[in-house]
Amino acid sequence: MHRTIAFCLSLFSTLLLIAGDPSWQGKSIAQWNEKDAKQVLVNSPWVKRAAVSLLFQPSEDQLRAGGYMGGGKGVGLDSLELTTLVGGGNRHPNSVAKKPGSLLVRWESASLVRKAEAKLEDSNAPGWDGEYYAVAVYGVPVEAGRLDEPGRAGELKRLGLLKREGMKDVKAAKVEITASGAGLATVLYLFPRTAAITPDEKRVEFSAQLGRMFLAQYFYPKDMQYQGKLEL
Amino acid sequence: MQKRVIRVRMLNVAVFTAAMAGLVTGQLLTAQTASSPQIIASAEPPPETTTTAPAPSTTGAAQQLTVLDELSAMKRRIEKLEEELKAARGETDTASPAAPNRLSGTPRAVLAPGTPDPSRAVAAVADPNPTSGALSAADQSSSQPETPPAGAAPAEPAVDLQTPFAFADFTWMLSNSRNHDEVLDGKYFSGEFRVDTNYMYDYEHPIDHTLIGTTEGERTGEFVIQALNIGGDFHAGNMQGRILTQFGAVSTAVPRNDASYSQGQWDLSDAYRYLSEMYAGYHINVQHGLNIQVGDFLSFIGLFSYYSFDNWMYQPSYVSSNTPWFFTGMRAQWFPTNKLKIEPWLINGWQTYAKYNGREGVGGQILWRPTANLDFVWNTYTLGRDTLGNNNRSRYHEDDSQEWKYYENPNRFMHRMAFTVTEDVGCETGGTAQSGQNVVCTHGYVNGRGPSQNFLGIMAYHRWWFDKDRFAAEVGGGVMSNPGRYLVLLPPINGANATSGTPYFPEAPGLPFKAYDFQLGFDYQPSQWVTWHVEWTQRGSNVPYFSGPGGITPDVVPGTYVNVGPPGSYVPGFTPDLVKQERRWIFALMVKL
Repeated sequence: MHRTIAFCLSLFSTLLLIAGDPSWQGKSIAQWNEKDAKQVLVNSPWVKRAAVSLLFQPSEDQLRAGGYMGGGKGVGLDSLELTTLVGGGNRHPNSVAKKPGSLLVRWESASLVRKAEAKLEDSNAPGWDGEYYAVAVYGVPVEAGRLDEPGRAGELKRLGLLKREGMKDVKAAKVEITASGAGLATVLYLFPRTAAITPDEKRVEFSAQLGRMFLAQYFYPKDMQYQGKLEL
Repeated sequence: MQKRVIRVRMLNVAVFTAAMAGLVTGQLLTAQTASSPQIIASAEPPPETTTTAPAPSTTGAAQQLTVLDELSAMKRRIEKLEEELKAARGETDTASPAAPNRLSGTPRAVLAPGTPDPSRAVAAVADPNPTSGALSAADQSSSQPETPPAGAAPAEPAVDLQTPFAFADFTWMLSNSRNHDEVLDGKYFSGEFRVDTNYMYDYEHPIDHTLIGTTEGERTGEFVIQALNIGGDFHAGNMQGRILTQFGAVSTAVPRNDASYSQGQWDLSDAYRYLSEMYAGYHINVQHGLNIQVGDFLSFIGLFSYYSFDNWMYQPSYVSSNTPWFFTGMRAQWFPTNKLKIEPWLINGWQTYAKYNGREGVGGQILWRPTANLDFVWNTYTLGRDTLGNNNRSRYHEDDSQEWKYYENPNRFMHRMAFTVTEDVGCETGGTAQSGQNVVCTHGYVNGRGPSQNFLGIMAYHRWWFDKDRFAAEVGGGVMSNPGRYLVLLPPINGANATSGTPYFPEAPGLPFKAYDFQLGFDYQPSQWVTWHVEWTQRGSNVPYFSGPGGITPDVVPGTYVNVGPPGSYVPGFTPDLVKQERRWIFALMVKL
């Protein structure tokens, strides 16, 4: 009896193992249904949720000492109370805990990602011209990232990096910021393909600084293959 | 019994294999319910905490254990994050972040520079905490109806390695404002408002209430509006500009030490006296930044800030008080790294609005902050000809400071300690045939040379912080020697200023001056924008220099202490009451918004 149970469980686990393969992997792209496309865009090696860290926010004076102006936090006149002058209140009314969140990062230039977006007719999928490694960060708060300020794209470009072991960091060649509504935006980083990424590389790190937000995320080329071909 | 053990083991192996099969293939990771514990496994650890790539088909027992351990750790971390998120929402008293609208009907638009985001205001109301927005932002795309769960936060806080001097908090430093937040900060303008008031109790009780030898206090025995500044930073793209007005006692006490405006017309002293900073510039995105700025900007020769709120002590030592507070000219600020600034100057002169003679001053600053606890600054001034009517006398000055925060423990009542040291050396050389006053840097009167005219000084300060910055205590002081008195602040006897001079305290080659000072200070800082300060200061000199009880204002008509004749002129029958020592209490209230 117990042998039978053990056998059934082993069989069940084997079936589960077989069923564990994402359905889209075993199909050609033409055969994908909507669910497959969603899976590619939500849970695949090309899509990650990157933890967001809030960088130390210098005051305006400290920024100016560093050659920059603007970018401090204006806490507003409402922060001033009698206790500001004499004490007894919250001495740092702005100092609420800074909790990190996460942002969705997608390796856009992989052809299967593009196909999945096309399959779902995703109007928010970013577009670009030229041959680049394209990585998009979705849902960036415009205000926190100060994305609507002049010259911001240039700064983002300098602070968007692809890091590979044993190789020089690659800076973004181009950055495009696209409003996506609700105070959010998609930031697309385009990296030159001058040194091609190979499947043998252990990992590729994407890092970006958006205003005072910083995120870094690994991608693993070994896993980013579709039907035996590296898709980047 | 043995059979039972074997069966149990087989059962365990089967269950374990089933669970692992689902986990590692990722099929279970796409579960629709966010509360499903398996979802945790899909969270991608950030690089800081991840050292290996996830293996799609892990089979070894050791690897299985590792995966289970990691799974368990990640689960705990997610739970902790969820708790923190709830706590944060409770602290900020805001509703849960509103889920962004699906974008099926939202027009897509590239944000052009300067284009306001039409939905920004909505977002700000819906979610004042940008990170909360980040948490809920991922499913904004119509192609992402199901989002992967959020990853864990990095174990180590990220550091801004791009913006110069933004890798750490330097508000502890002497000469740096300690506020972390701006009350008035906008997209194109960051406002600034400062008030500095004091009441000084001088043990000499000068009858004319006049204080001598400092720019951080002009009157004693009465309330004084020392400085009132309104202005701020303008910033649009790469354009920068700063203006800060100055009203109050400083608007006469500082410009009167500059005689340069007396050469020529238009009285620049009056034109500029109500502005402490006024410059415009352009920021170039090269390396870590390059600024070109022209106008009137602060000098940090002597370490202390021109604004008392930024300083540990109210009365700076001579090394600071007798050296420039501002320059007029142009400067470049080059940041080759985020820890180093190289700032050359081409300026009209040594704290001058105009140019005394035929040559500008050249100088610069190198600022290096290698760590969050260390600061080194080197200031150099050369070539300027800063003596009125003397076209051949050049000034050279070197001013170096070091600051070290050597203790920081936020869990202690006395939670921080730091100290600073500043060393100054300078001299003047040359002269004119008309004046007959050739001076040399050293070895005066040797082999027929003129008198030596130089400056040597040092100051040191130490500070303790208590109760999360609510209180602070300071001690410090310094000494200086300045033969020739070219950097000694002229006592305003009978209204004397740098142009007029005074026969009662001549400043000329060969005249000695040595002085010391020390201070003890205590601060009550009820908020990051307000400082109540009390300070004991004592100063002394080798010649009578400080105000005595009789004051320094003529009393030609007994009982009236008013200036007589042109500023600084000799008044028959009048002798200023100068003493060699000064002791006073300073009570100050300083606000900076």
